[in-house]
Amino acid sequence: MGEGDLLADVLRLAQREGALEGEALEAFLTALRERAELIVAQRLEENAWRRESMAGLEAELRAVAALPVTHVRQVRRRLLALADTLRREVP
Amino acid sequence: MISAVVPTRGGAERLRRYLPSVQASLAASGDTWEVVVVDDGATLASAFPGTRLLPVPEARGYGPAVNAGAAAAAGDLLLVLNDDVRLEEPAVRRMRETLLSRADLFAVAPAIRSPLAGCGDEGGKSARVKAGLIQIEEAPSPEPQATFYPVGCCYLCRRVTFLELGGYDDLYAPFFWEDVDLGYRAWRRGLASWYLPAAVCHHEGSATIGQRPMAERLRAWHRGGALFHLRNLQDRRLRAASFGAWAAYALFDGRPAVTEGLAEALRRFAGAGRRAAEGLSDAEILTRTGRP
Repeated sequence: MGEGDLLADVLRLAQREGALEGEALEAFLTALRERAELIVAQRLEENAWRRESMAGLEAELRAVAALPVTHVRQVRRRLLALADTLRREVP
Repeated sequence: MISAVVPTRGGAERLRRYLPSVQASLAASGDTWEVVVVDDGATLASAFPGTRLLPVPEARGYGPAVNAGAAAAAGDLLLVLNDDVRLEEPAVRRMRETLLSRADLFAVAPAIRSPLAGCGDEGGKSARVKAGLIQIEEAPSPEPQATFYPVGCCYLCRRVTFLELGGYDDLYAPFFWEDVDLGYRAWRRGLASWYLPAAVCHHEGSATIGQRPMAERLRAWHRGGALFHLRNLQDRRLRAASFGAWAAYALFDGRPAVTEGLAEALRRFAGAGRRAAEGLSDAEILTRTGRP
């Protein structure tokens, strides 16, 4: 099994098992297309969530400038928690 | 005799909290019983009252720990549990009655009330093929019914069947998909997993695994899923479709945890190979465990 080229490894194994011939190839291609659509849709959804979170973060930062100094510590805690959430959600 | 096997990894507090409910349910089962706590990593100071402590110095995860407990158990029935499970008192008695009433069962699985389950109950499972891969779905029901596999946090089975099946496959260690794999191997032999909603357990949910970083969990999830398909599927078209799905992940996913998990699966599979084809077909198993 090679290092670093997952696609080549998958295709080599698929070929060894006869998955790239005849009706098996048809099943291979159908699944590739359907799974690719799912993956792309999922990634788009995740990116939208991140964009939303970043927009929230930016709004919070803008709000900090308008706050009295005594409130800044509380806001900072909220921002750090939000940043922490974002970090945990990015695999 | 029922042997409850409870693997734990540094779960002293959870055991203190949940073991009394397990012991109470066993006491109300109508059978003799024991509790074997498998100490994965050997970090517990001493055995809990009324339990037998089985220290495993090298922590290898859930599957190997349960296998060690099953090998050391004295009972003819195995109650496999997580360390963060609270049983309602009639649960073990009800599971036992059902298991002993039918020779065609591998395991009886209770309703598992859990915050992790979308529908609130992760005990019943169905399966279908979606975009090249077997997709497992929650399948709660007010009535008993076949389930795709017994979720590893709580089920009752005959010890001899567990051992004849070879127990959990270490290839999946430290966690994820080993219970799916075991249930599938049982189905292959025509032995059903049976969801019994009248038996209820409460699961805190991933108390041990949940402490691991998300990237590690994602990697283990994809590694286990790929291994399950590679090791078990026999149908030529289903296998080809699963390769198509992995190719899509390799091309389009891009998350290192996912691609690393798949690469690990290929490496592990290379040393293990596909299982024998004897028994029910993949289509028959999916028909028996799918939902319309």
